[in-house]
Amino acid sequence: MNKKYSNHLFAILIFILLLILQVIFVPFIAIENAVPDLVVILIVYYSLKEGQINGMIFGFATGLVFDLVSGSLLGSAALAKTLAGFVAGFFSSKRVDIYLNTFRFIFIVLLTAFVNSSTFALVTNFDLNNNLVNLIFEQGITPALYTGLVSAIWFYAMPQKKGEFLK
Amino acid sequence: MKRLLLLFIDRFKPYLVLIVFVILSFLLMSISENESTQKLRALALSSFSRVAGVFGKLNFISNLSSDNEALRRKNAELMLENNQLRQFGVENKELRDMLDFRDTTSFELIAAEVSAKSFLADQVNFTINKGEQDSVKPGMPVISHDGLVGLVYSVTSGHAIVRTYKNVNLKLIVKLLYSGTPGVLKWNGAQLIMEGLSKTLEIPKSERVITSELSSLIGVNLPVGDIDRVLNPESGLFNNLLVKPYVDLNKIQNVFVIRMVQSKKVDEYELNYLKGK
Repeated sequence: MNKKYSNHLFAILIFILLLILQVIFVPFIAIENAVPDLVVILIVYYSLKEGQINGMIFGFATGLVFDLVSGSLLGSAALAKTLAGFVAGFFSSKRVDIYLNTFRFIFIVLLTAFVNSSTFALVTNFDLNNNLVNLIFEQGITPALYTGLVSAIWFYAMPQKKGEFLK
Repeated sequence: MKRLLLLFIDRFKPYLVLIVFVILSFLLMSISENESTQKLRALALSSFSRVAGVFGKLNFISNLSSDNEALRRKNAELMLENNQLRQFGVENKELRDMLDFRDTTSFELIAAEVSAKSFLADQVNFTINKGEQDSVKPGMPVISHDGLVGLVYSVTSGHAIVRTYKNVNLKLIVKLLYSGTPGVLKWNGAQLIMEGLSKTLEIPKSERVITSELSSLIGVNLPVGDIDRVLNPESGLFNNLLVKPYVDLNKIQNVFVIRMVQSKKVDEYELNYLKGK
Protein backbone atom coordinates (compact mmCIF):
# COMPACT_ATOMS: atom_id res chain seq x y z
CA MET A 1 0.00 0.00 0.00
CA ASN A 2 1.11 3.56 -0.70
CA LYS A 3 2.96 4.96 2.34
CA LYS A 4 0.88 8.14 2.31
CA TYR A 5 -2.40 6.18 2.48
CA SER A 6 -1.07 3.85 5.15
CA ASN A 7 -0.18 6.93 7.27
CA HIS A 8 -3.76 8.23 7.00
CA LEU A 9 -5.19 4.80 7.80
CA PHE A 10 -2.89 4.50 10.81
CA ALA A 11 -4.08 7.91 12.07
CA ILE A 12 -7.73 6.83 11.71
CA LEU A 13 -7.08 3.61 13.67
CA ILE A 14 -5.30 5.53 16.42
CA PHE A 15 -8.22 7.98 16.50
CA ILE A 16 -10.75 5.16 17.06
CA LEU A 17 -8.59 3.77 19.87
CA LEU A 18 -8.23 7.22 21.48
CA LEU A 19 -11.96 7.88 21.17
CA ILE A 20 -12.70 4.67 23.06
CA LEU A 21 -10.13 5.63 25.72
CA GLN A 22 -11.63 9.13 25.90
CA VAL A 23 -15.20 8.01 26.59
CA ILE A 24 -14.53 4.93 28.74
CA PHE A 25 -11.32 5.37 30.73
CA VAL A 26 -10.54 9.12 30.76
CA PRO A 27 -13.66 10.01 32.85
CA PHE A 28 -12.04 8.10 35.74
CA ILE A 29 -9.17 10.61 35.88
CA ALA A 30 -11.43 13.67 35.69
CA ILE A 31 -10.48 16.47 38.09
CA GLU A 32 -13.80 18.14 38.84
CA ASN A 33 -15.02 18.35 35.25
CA ALA A 34 -11.69 18.80 33.53
CA VAL A 35 -10.46 15.90 31.43
CA PRO A 36 -7.51 15.68 29.04
CA ASP A 37 -8.47 15.63 25.35
CA LEU A 38 -6.46 12.79 23.85
CA VAL A 39 -7.79 13.46 20.35
CA VAL A 40 -6.20 16.94 20.39
CA ILE A 41 -2.77 15.37 20.95
CA LEU A 42 -3.33 13.21 17.87
CA ILE A 43 -4.49 16.25 15.85
CA VAL A 44 -1.31 18.12 16.81
CA TYR A 45 0.85 15.15 15.83
CA TYR A 46 -1.02 14.72 12.53
CA SER A 47 -0.94 18.45 11.68
CA LEU A 48 2.80 18.68 12.34
CA LYS A 49 3.46 15.67 10.12
CA GLU A 50 0.93 16.24 7.33
CA GLY A 51 0.60 20.03 7.21
CA GLN A 52 -1.99 22.65 8.08
CA ILE A 53 -4.70 21.79 5.51
CA ASN A 54 -4.59 18.05 6.21
CA GLY A 55 -4.59 18.86 9.92
CA MET A 56 -7.78 20.91 9.54
CA ILE A 57 -9.49 18.18 7.50
CA PHE A 58 -8.49 15.58 10.10
CA GLY A 59 -9.61 17.88 12.94
CA PHE A 60 -13.00 18.50 11.32
CA ALA A 61 -13.60 14.79 10.66
CA THR A 62 -12.58 13.66 14.16
CA GLY A 63 -14.63 16.47 15.73
CA LEU A 64 -17.68 15.48 13.72
CA VAL A 65 -17.38 11.84 14.80
CA PHE A 66 -16.96 13.00 18.40
CA ASP A 67 -20.11 15.14 18.13
CA LEU A 68 -22.08 12.21 16.72
CA VAL A 69 -21.14 9.70 19.39
CA SER A 70 -21.06 12.00 22.43
CA GLY A 71 -24.45 13.66 22.02
CA SER A 72 -23.03 17.18 22.04
CA LEU A 73 -24.19 19.95 19.69
CA LEU A 74 -23.42 18.73 16.16
CA GLY A 75 -20.62 20.83 14.65
CA SER A 76 -19.31 22.22 17.95
CA ALA A 77 -16.39 19.82 18.39
CA ALA A 78 -15.89 19.83 14.59
CA LEU A 79 -15.35 23.61 14.70
CA ALA A 80 -13.11 23.46 17.78
CA LYS A 81 -10.94 20.69 16.36
CA THR A 82 -10.68 22.36 12.92
CA LEU A 83 -9.25 25.42 14.66
CA ALA A 84 -6.96 23.11 16.63
CA GLY A 85 -5.66 21.64 13.37
CA PHE A 86 -5.23 25.15 11.97
CA VAL A 87 -3.20 26.35 14.97
CA ALA A 88 -1.05 23.20 15.17
CA GLY A 89 -0.48 23.35 11.41
CA PHE A 90 1.31 26.68 11.77
CA PHE A 91 4.24 24.80 13.27
CA SER A 92 4.37 22.27 10.47
CA SER A 93 7.61 22.39 8.50
CA LYS A 94 9.96 20.14 6.54
CA ARG A 95 11.99 19.62 9.72
CA VAL A 96 9.14 17.93 11.59
CA ASP A 97 11.53 16.45 14.16
CA ILE A 98 12.24 19.96 15.52
CA TYR A 99 8.74 19.96 16.98
CA LEU A 100 7.85 16.30 17.29
CA ASN A 101 10.93 15.12 19.15
CA THR A 102 11.51 18.08 21.43
CA PHE A 103 9.73 19.60 24.37
CA ARG A 104 8.22 22.17 21.96
CA PHE A 105 5.63 19.52 21.18
CA ILE A 106 4.18 19.95 24.70
CA PHE A 107 3.82 23.71 24.24
CA ILE A 108 2.11 23.25 20.88
CA VAL A 109 -0.29 20.78 22.51
CA LEU A 110 -0.94 23.29 25.32
CA LEU A 111 -1.71 26.10 22.88
CA THR A 112 -3.81 23.93 20.60
CA ALA A 113 -5.76 22.37 23.49
CA PHE A 114 -6.49 25.86 24.84
CA VAL A 115 -7.85 27.00 21.45
CA ASN A 116 -9.86 23.79 21.17
CA SER A 117 -11.49 23.86 24.62
CA SER A 118 -12.08 27.64 24.64
CA THR A 119 -13.79 27.51 21.23
CA PHE A 120 -15.92 24.57 22.31
CA ALA A 121 -16.91 26.33 25.55
CA LEU A 122 -17.77 29.57 23.77
CA VAL A 123 -19.91 27.81 21.16
CA THR A 124 -21.82 25.52 23.49
CA ASN A 125 -22.01 27.54 26.68
CA PHE A 126 -22.15 31.17 25.60
CA ASP A 127 -24.45 33.08 27.91
CA LEU A 128 -24.44 36.83 28.51
CA ASN A 129 -24.98 36.15 32.23
CA ASN A 130 -21.73 34.19 32.43
CA ASN A 131 -18.39 35.79 33.12
CA LEU A 132 -16.34 35.34 29.94
CA VAL A 133 -12.99 35.31 31.78
CA ASN A 134 -14.27 32.65 34.18
CA LEU A 135 -15.64 30.63 31.27
CA ILE A 136 -12.32 30.67 29.44
CA PHE A 137 -10.37 29.94 32.61
CA GLU A 138 -12.54 27.07 33.84
CA GLN A 139 -13.39 25.49 30.52
CA GLY A 140 -10.45 26.59 28.40
CA ILE A 141 -7.27 26.74 30.47
CA THR A 142 -7.90 23.89 32.94
CA PRO A 143 -8.57 21.15 30.34
CA ALA A 144 -5.68 22.53 28.23
CA LEU A 145 -3.24 22.22 31.14
CA TYR A 146 -4.45 18.69 31.78
CA THR A 147 -4.03 17.77 28.10
CA GLY A 148 -0.55 19.34 28.13
CA LEU A 149 0.35 17.29 31.20
CA VAL A 150 -0.77 14.05 29.53
CA SER A 151 1.19 14.93 26.38
CA ALA A 152 4.26 15.57 28.59
CA ILE A 153 3.89 12.12 30.17
CA TRP A 154 3.55 10.59 26.70
CA PHE A 155 6.55 12.62 25.46
CA TYR A 156 8.86 11.58 28.30
CA ALA A 157 7.70 7.97 28.08
CA MET A 158 8.72 7.77 24.41
CA PRO A 159 12.31 6.60 23.78
CA GLN A 160 14.49 9.54 22.71
CA LYS A 161 17.85 9.64 21.06
CA LYS A 162 20.53 11.16 23.29
CA GLY A 163 20.58 14.93 23.06
CA GLU A 164 17.36 15.31 21.10
CA PHE A 165 15.59 16.85 24.04
CA LEU A 166 17.92 19.86 23.90
CA LYS A 167 17.43 20.59 20.22
CA MET B 1 -7.12 37.69 -13.95
CA LYS B 2 -7.41 33.88 -13.75
CA ARG B 3 -3.72 33.66 -12.89
CA LEU B 4 -4.17 36.27 -10.17
CA LEU B 5 -7.09 34.32 -8.74
CA LEU B 6 -5.09 31.08 -8.75
CA LEU B 7 -2.22 32.88 -7.08
CA PHE B 8 -4.59 34.23 -4.44
CA ILE B 9 -6.08 30.76 -3.81
CA ASP B 10 -2.64 29.20 -3.61
CA ARG B 11 -1.37 31.86 -1.22
CA PHE B 12 -4.38 31.79 1.11
CA LYS B 13 -5.38 28.13 0.72
CA PRO B 14 -5.26 27.27 4.47
CA TYR B 15 -7.38 30.31 5.34
CA LEU B 16 -9.94 29.49 2.63
CA VAL B 17 -10.15 25.88 3.85
CA LEU B 18 -10.59 27.17 7.40
CA ILE B 19 -13.44 29.48 6.31
CA VAL B 20 -15.17 26.60 4.49
CA PHE B 21 -14.95 24.35 7.57
CA VAL B 22 -16.14 27.11 9.92
CA ILE B 23 -19.19 27.74 7.72
CA LEU B 24 -19.81 23.99 7.49
CA SER B 25 -19.61 23.66 11.29
CA PHE B 26 -22.16 26.44 11.82
CA LEU B 27 -24.45 24.85 9.21
CA LEU B 28 -24.22 21.56 11.12
CA MET B 29 -25.07 23.36 14.36
CA SER B 30 -28.20 24.79 12.77
CA ILE B 31 -29.43 21.32 11.78
CA SER B 32 -28.29 19.61 14.99
CA GLU B 33 -31.83 18.91 16.23
CA ASN B 34 -33.32 17.85 12.85
CA GLU B 35 -34.97 14.44 12.57
CA SER B 36 -32.58 13.24 9.83
CA THR B 37 -29.58 14.35 11.93
CA GLN B 38 -30.97 12.44 14.90
CA LYS B 39 -31.18 9.32 12.73
CA LEU B 40 -27.56 9.76 11.64
CA ARG B 41 -26.55 10.30 15.27
CA ALA B 42 -28.44 7.15 16.29
CA LEU B 43 -26.65 5.13 13.60
CA ALA B 44 -23.21 6.43 14.64
CA LEU B 45 -23.97 5.91 18.32
CA SER B 46 -25.20 2.37 17.75
CA SER B 47 -22.05 1.37 15.80
CA PHE B 48 -19.71 3.03 18.29
CA SER B 49 -21.49 1.61 21.34
CA ARG B 50 -21.00 -1.95 20.06
CA VAL B 51 -17.23 -1.43 19.97
CA ALA B 52 -17.07 0.63 23.17
CA GLY B 53 -19.29 -1.88 24.97
CA VAL B 54 -16.57 -4.56 24.82
CA PHE B 55 -14.02 -2.26 26.50
CA GLY B 56 -16.64 -0.95 28.92
CA LYS B 57 -17.30 -4.52 30.04
CA LEU B 58 -13.61 -5.01 30.90
CA ASN B 59 -13.65 -1.80 32.88
CA PHE B 60 -16.86 -2.82 34.60
CA ILE B 61 -15.36 -6.15 35.71
CA SER B 62 -12.28 -4.44 37.18
CA ASN B 63 -14.52 -2.24 39.35
CA LEU B 64 -16.72 -5.06 40.61
CA SER B 65 -14.99 -5.71 43.95
CA SER B 66 -15.03 -2.07 45.10
CA ASP B 67 -18.60 -1.69 43.82
CA ASN B 68 -19.68 -4.79 45.73
CA GLU B 69 -18.36 -3.42 49.01
CA ALA B 70 -20.06 -0.07 48.48
CA LEU B 71 -23.31 -1.80 47.52
CA ARG B 72 -23.23 -4.05 50.60
CA ARG B 73 -22.87 -1.00 52.80
CA LYS B 74 -25.65 0.79 50.94
CA ASN B 75 -27.82 -2.31 51.20
CA ALA B 76 -27.49 -2.37 54.97
CA GLU B 77 -28.34 1.33 55.20
CA LEU B 78 -31.34 0.87 52.91
CA MET B 79 -32.55 -2.11 54.90
CA LEU B 80 -32.71 0.06 58.03
CA GLU B 81 -34.39 2.88 56.11
CA ASN B 82 -36.78 0.46 54.44
CA ASN B 83 -37.85 -0.91 57.79
CA GLN B 84 -38.76 2.55 58.96
CA LEU B 85 -40.49 3.43 55.68
CA ARG B 86 -42.53 0.22 55.83
CA GLN B 87 -44.07 1.43 59.05
CA PHE B 88 -44.82 4.82 57.50
CA GLY B 89 -46.21 3.04 54.42
CA VAL B 90 -48.76 1.06 56.43
CA GLU B 91 -49.83 4.22 58.19
CA ASN B 92 -49.97 6.11 54.88
CA LYS B 93 -52.06 3.39 53.20
CA GLU B 94 -54.61 3.54 55.97
CA LEU B 95 -54.86 7.30 55.62
CA ARG B 96 -55.10 7.09 51.80
CA ASP B 97 -57.79 4.44 52.05
CA MET B 98 -59.69 6.73 54.35
CA LEU B 99 -59.45 9.54 51.77
CA ASP B 100 -60.05 7.19 48.75
CA PHE B 101 -56.76 8.23 47.00
CA ARG B 102 -55.25 6.29 44.11
CA ASP B 103 -51.66 5.06 44.39
CA THR B 104 -49.48 6.86 41.84
CA THR B 105 -46.08 6.20 43.30
CA SER B 106 -45.03 2.88 41.74
CA PHE B 107 -42.66 3.07 38.77
CA GLU B 108 -41.23 0.42 36.53
CA LEU B 109 -37.42 0.55 36.44
CA ILE B 110 -35.14 -0.60 33.63
CA ALA B 111 -31.66 -1.49 34.87
CA ALA B 112 -28.83 -0.33 32.57
CA GLU B 113 -25.05 -0.09 32.51
CA VAL B 114 -23.14 3.02 31.45
CA SER B 115 -21.14 1.89 28.43
CA ALA B 116 -19.50 5.25 27.62
CA LYS B 117 -19.15 8.71 29.14
CA SER B 118 -18.51 11.97 27.36
CA PHE B 119 -16.92 14.47 29.75
CA LEU B 120 -16.91 18.05 28.50
CA ALA B 121 -16.92 21.05 30.79
CA ASP B 122 -20.39 22.22 29.84
CA GLN B 123 -21.96 18.83 29.33
CA VAL B 124 -21.53 15.31 30.60
CA ASN B 125 -23.44 12.74 28.55
CA PHE B 126 -23.66 8.99 29.07
CA THR B 127 -24.32 6.16 26.68
CA ILE B 128 -26.27 3.31 28.30
CA ASN B 129 -26.71 -0.25 27.05
CA LYS B 130 -30.52 -0.18 26.90
CA GLY B 131 -32.52 1.23 24.01
CA GLU B 132 -35.75 1.03 22.05
CA GLN B 133 -35.94 -2.76 22.27
CA ASP B 134 -36.06 -2.40 26.08
CA SER B 135 -38.84 0.24 25.81
CA VAL B 136 -36.47 3.13 26.59
CA LYS B 137 -37.75 6.36 25.04
CA PRO B 138 -36.47 9.95 24.87
CA GLY B 139 -37.63 11.95 27.87
CA MET B 140 -37.50 9.12 30.41
CA PRO B 141 -35.78 10.06 33.71
CA VAL B 142 -32.58 8.23 34.63
CA ILE B 143 -31.68 7.64 38.28
CA SER B 144 -29.16 5.77 40.40
CA HIS B 145 -29.59 4.49 43.95
CA ASP B 146 -28.51 7.96 45.13
CA GLY B 147 -30.80 10.15 43.06
CA LEU B 148 -31.34 11.89 39.73
CA VAL B 149 -28.79 11.29 36.96
CA GLY B 150 -30.52 12.91 33.97
CA LEU B 151 -32.90 12.36 31.09
CA VAL B 152 -32.80 10.09 28.05
CA TYR B 153 -31.98 12.31 25.07
CA SER B 154 -31.93 9.95 22.07
CA VAL B 155 -32.26 6.22 21.54
CA THR B 156 -31.20 3.51 19.11
CA SER B 157 -32.41 -0.07 19.16
CA GLY B 158 -29.86 -1.18 21.78
CA HIS B 159 -28.43 2.01 23.28
CA ALA B 160 -29.44 5.45 24.49
CA ILE B 161 -27.73 8.79 25.16
CA VAL B 162 -28.46 10.29 28.56
CA ARG B 163 -28.17 14.01 29.19
CA THR B 164 -26.99 14.22 32.79
CA TYR B 165 -27.77 17.05 35.20
CA LYS B 166 -24.33 18.42 34.23
CA ASN B 167 -25.54 19.70 30.88
CA VAL B 168 -26.09 23.37 30.08
CA ASN B 169 -29.02 22.39 27.84
CA LEU B 170 -30.94 20.64 30.61
CA LYS B 171 -33.01 22.91 32.87
CA LEU B 172 -35.40 21.39 35.39
CA ILE B 173 -38.05 22.72 37.74
CA VAL B 174 -37.10 21.58 41.23
CA LYS B 175 -38.24 22.45 44.73
CA LEU B 176 -36.95 22.55 48.28
CA LEU B 177 -38.27 19.51 50.12
CA TYR B 178 -39.48 21.09 53.35
CA SER B 179 -40.61 24.55 52.26
CA GLY B 180 -41.82 23.38 48.82
CA THR B 181 -40.36 26.53 47.19
CA PRO B 182 -39.80 25.94 43.46
CA GLY B 183 -36.79 27.05 41.43
CA VAL B 184 -34.92 26.24 38.23
CA LEU B 185 -32.04 23.78 38.37
CA LYS B 186 -29.28 24.37 35.82
CA TRP B 187 -25.64 23.53 35.21
CA ASN B 188 -23.59 26.62 34.33
CA GLY B 189 -20.51 24.75 33.20
CA ALA B 190 -18.89 24.70 36.63
CA GLN B 191 -21.62 24.53 39.25
CA LEU B 192 -25.09 23.08 39.75
CA ILE B 193 -27.35 25.98 40.62
CA MET B 194 -30.95 26.39 41.78
CA GLU B 195 -32.13 29.77 40.51
CA GLY B 196 -35.02 32.11 41.09
CA LEU B 197 -35.62 31.98 44.86
CA SER B 198 -36.96 34.96 46.71
CA LYS B 199 -34.39 37.04 48.62
CA THR B 200 -36.62 37.01 51.70
CA LEU B 201 -36.82 33.22 51.83
CA GLU B 202 -34.96 31.64 54.73
CA ILE B 203 -32.98 28.68 53.50
CA PRO B 204 -31.58 26.24 56.03
CA LYS B 205 -28.24 24.69 55.13
CA SER B 206 -28.42 21.14 53.75
CA GLU B 207 -32.07 21.56 52.73
CA ARG B 208 -32.87 18.76 50.25
CA VAL B 209 -33.61 19.59 46.61
CA ILE B 210 -36.01 17.31 44.73
CA THR B 211 -37.57 17.46 41.26
CA SER B 212 -40.96 19.13 41.23
CA GLU B 213 -44.26 17.76 40.02
CA LEU B 214 -44.62 21.12 38.21
CA SER B 215 -41.82 20.14 35.79
CA SER B 216 -42.88 19.33 32.25
CA LEU B 217 -39.87 16.99 31.97
CA ILE B 218 -39.85 15.08 35.26
CA GLY B 219 -43.16 15.23 37.06
CA VAL B 220 -42.22 13.00 39.98
CA ASN B 221 -40.22 13.77 43.10
CA LEU B 222 -36.68 12.48 42.67
CA PRO B 223 -33.84 13.46 45.01
CA VAL B 224 -31.26 15.77 43.37
CA GLY B 225 -28.95 17.06 46.10
CA ASP B 226 -28.45 19.26 49.16
CA ILE B 227 -28.21 23.04 49.30
CA ASP B 228 -24.61 24.05 49.98
CA ARG B 229 -24.78 27.85 50.14
CA VAL B 230 -26.28 31.02 48.65
CA LEU B 231 -24.10 32.17 45.76
CA ASN B 232 -25.25 35.80 45.63
CA PRO B 233 -26.42 36.87 49.10
CA GLU B 234 -25.87 40.58 48.41
CA SER B 235 -26.63 40.95 44.72
CA GLY B 236 -29.36 40.27 42.19
CA LEU B 237 -33.14 40.19 42.50
CA PHE B 238 -33.30 36.49 43.35
CA ASN B 239 -31.12 34.10 45.30
CA ASN B 240 -29.08 31.50 43.44
CA LEU B 241 -28.24 28.44 45.49
CA LEU B 242 -25.32 26.09 45.02
CA VAL B 243 -26.56 22.50 44.95
CA LYS B 244 -24.36 19.58 46.00
CA PRO B 245 -25.67 16.65 43.93
CA TYR B 246 -26.09 13.19 45.47
CA VAL B 247 -24.91 11.35 42.37
CA ASP B 248 -21.20 11.33 41.55
CA LEU B 249 -21.12 11.15 37.73
CA ASN B 250 -17.41 10.23 37.70
CA LYS B 251 -17.95 6.96 39.55
CA ILE B 252 -21.40 5.86 38.43
CA GLN B 253 -21.61 2.65 36.35
CA ASN B 254 -25.15 1.34 36.92
CA VAL B 255 -28.33 3.34 36.42
CA PHE B 256 -32.09 2.83 36.20
CA VAL B 257 -34.40 4.29 33.61
CA ILE B 258 -37.88 5.08 34.93
CA ARG B 259 -40.34 3.79 32.35
CA MET B 260 -42.45 6.90 32.07
CA VAL B 261 -42.55 9.92 29.78
CA GLN B 262 -43.88 12.98 31.48
CA SER B 263 -46.45 13.99 28.86
CA LYS B 264 -48.03 10.51 28.99
CA LYS B 265 -48.06 10.60 32.74
CA VAL B 266 -49.87 13.94 32.63
CA ASP B 267 -52.40 12.39 30.23
CA GLU B 268 -52.95 9.60 32.70
CA TYR B 269 -53.58 12.06 35.49
CA GLU B 270 -56.04 13.93 33.33
CA LEU B 271 -57.83 10.70 32.47
CA ASN B 272 -57.92 9.80 36.15
CA TYR B 273 -59.37 13.18 36.87
CA LEU B 274 -62.07 12.69 34.24
CA LYS B 275 -62.73 9.17 35.49
CA GLY B 276 -63.09 10.54 38.99
CA LYS B 277 -65.71 12.99 37.74
